[in-house]
Amino acid sequence: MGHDHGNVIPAYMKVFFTLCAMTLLTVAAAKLVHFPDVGFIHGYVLNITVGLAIAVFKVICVMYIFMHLKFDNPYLRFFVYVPVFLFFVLTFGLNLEFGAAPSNDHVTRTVHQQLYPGDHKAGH
Amino acid sequence: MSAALNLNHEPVTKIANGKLAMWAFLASELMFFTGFFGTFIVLRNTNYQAFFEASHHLSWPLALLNTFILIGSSLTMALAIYNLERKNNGMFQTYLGLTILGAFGFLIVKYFEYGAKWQDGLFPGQENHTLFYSFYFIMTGFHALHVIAGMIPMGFMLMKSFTKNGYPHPVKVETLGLYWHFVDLMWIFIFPALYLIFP
Repeated sequence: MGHDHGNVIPAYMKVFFTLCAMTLLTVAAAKLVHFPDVGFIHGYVLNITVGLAIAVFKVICVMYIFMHLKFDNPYLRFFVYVPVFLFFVLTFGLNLEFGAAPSNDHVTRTVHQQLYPGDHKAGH
Repeated sequence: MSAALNLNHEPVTKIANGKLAMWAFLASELMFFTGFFGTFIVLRNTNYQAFFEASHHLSWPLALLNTFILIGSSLTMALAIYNLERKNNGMFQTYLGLTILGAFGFLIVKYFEYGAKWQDGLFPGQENHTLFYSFYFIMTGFHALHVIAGMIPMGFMLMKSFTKNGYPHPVKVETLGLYWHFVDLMWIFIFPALYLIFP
């Protein structure tokens, strides 16, 4: 950008490997791990939340290091925070709302039970 | 895009005007995709069974491969800018070339993915799958269009760099880099939302 940020290659490599690892973790969280129900929150809602939380972490890594927000003028960060915040609120909020949507509860539970019978023991 | 880029600096923030304009553009792009995500989630909640069944025909391993390709191309783009700033012009060309190659790779994988869907009759207009595949093709299609839109100025900059004194100003490449990283960012959300979010 015309400014010299010093030797940023180690930071770039760290972000790259973190992104790769987090991507694998996202897949593992979605395909391998099946969270149990916690109170009124269904386990699969936790799966979605974990997946989105990892995505948010990856986005922050890319924005701060690859897109140079860490090195740039702080004014720029405020300019970016607003739409990013709205995006996260919408994505998280709507997905969490889904967990409490009674119209989907029966369908989701039935399908989920067929796929992962071990997660739904008798009496649950 | 690069020809119209203003390299002057805004007096208060000291940020290049072209770069600031790119951030404003990316903010509007974010809202553009947010509309898709919001609508997708609401309709998914009201048509859960249809979305659930349709989503199981998607190939998440291919999407995972594309995720790695985009992450790699984001790294090479950042390294291209780094080398251009240090006047390592050969390395700049190599890394920019690798970024374009990554973009090509992404589109090739996407071609195979779309081809498989088309052969299996999984596209809008088919019974039970219309809504989900409308979103699938619109969201991934718009994303692929963004990839193509990024490849054009990258190819132009790379070709120009082989001419005499043809190296672009680092701010121009960094501004283009912002766009390219944004394409990566959107895929980071599209990947779990479409391919992984269903139990």
